[in-house]
Amino acid sequence: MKGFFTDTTLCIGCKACEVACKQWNQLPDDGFDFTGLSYDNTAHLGSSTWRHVAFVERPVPLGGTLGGNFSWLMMSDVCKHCARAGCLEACPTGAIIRTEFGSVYVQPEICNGCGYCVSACPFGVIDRREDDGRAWKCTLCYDRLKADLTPACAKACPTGSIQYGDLVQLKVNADARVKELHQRGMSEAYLYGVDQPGTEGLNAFFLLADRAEKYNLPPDPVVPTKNVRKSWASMGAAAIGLAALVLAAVVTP
Amino acid sequence: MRTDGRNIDQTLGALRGEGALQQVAHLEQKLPVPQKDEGVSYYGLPLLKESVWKWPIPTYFYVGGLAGASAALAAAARLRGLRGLVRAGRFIAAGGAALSGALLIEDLGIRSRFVYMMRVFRPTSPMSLGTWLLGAFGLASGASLLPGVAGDVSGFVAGALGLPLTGYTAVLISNTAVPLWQQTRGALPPLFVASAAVSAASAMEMLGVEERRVRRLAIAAKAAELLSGVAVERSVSGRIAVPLKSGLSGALWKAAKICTAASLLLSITRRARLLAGALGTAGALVTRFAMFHAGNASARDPQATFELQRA
Repeated sequence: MKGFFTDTTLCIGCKACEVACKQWNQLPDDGFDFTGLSYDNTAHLGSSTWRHVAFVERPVPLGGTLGGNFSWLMMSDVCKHCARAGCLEACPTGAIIRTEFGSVYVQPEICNGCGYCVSACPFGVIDRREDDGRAWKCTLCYDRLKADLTPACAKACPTGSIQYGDLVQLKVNADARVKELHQRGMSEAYLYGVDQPGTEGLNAFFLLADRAEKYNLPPDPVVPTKNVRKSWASMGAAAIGLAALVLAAVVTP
Repeated sequence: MRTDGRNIDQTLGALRGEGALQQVAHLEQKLPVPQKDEGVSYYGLPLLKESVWKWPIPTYFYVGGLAGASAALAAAARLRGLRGLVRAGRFIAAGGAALSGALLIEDLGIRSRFVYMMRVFRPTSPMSLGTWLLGAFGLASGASLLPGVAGDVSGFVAGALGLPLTGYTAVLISNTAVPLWQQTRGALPPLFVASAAVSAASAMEMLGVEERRVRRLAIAAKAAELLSGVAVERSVSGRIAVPLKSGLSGALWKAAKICTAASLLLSITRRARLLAGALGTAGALVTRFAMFHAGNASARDPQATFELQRA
């Protein structure tokens, strides 16, 4: 089981991961827009954007650091490759599969662009490209993994903020890193997505230094299928009600 | 050179990357729009992607419901030998099933791949279950147009399959991360089922078959639609409830309620049968569009997303 550990306290916002991802995967650009939102001109993950660096400017210091009443939070966001993935469970064609590396992969030659996965993802990651017609997202560089290479973003990251490896080892590293940061006085550091109950864990997890909402991450994501039983039960009862109603109205003289 | 946004000289390099198959026609992609937001969020940007579905999908919710309830109605009418109602119900069911298929294919990103829907059977995906259900319903409702015993047997099968067909679409949209759809997961299926019953009863009102029995059904169904609409309103809270009160979706929701209530009143007072049917149809159709747009609006609002999870 492979995955990413993204340590946001090491991120310097260079966007090398975004560029490496675009270049290796031969993805088209998204147009060259200025959003006016700090240094973030990418704004979100999308069908042609599989890494996205978020920039948060805060008027408060980060624990254990110098620099007065200001701090940067930067985070390279990516598909979480959920252990229980909403997109995969929703996909009606079988285009979305779980690979031998534990990652979630969309097969472009199967996807027919029904769009269900787009609404089923609790992280807003996967998207359908209108001109292409299909859904696309991070593949965890499936082609590179097959050749025993590190994913392009992790390879390009100059500070080790994006770490790729075996999930068990990554979690050990992450725990050690949180302890180290706490000792240095950064008491706000915590891990996001390790043993995430709603998705039974994320294969791409993060070390954050503020509330998840600040980074546009859901605070407690739940795979939609976990709650759907109630909906089926309610539908069953309503359908029986409809049968009774129709019979009563039509069969009685 | 900026031909397809890849910055690759294709005389020197081959396109073989994971994203190389991506067809590019329009380089400029839509950026997410910051929402009005007072709470903690990332510049008010939406967390979720709103659904990529367009008008064929809420239209299908109506047409599929109409077809399913009409098949059930025709099956019940067959028990009593009400030939006019049986004929009308079976025709609407078969026609509706065919139209449903067309609407669903129209909305696909790659229409020629519609048949890939039948590659797998996936119980975790209401869309996969619904595809198989609609397929079986289409066959049965088509065969119900045959004369004699074959038509009758198929008619009963179509009637039985029609029941879940009226409500599974509500389960389908509840099974998403969209805050409003997910929070109404208990209340939405009864609304869709009642709305389907209204659709069928209103169609029969307009056709003028078996007036007395159809009116009985229409009154009960329209009352049920209004009541289950109230249940939907009561099941949503805070920011998640906003799309049902304001904006395009709020206006549609209100219009749907007014149409259904007016149509109920006309059916009870036995006046203007045609208008009662037309208003009932409009109410059922607009209900689906209102829920569709309300879900999209709630997906755009990051605070609605956080609220559902923090609760």
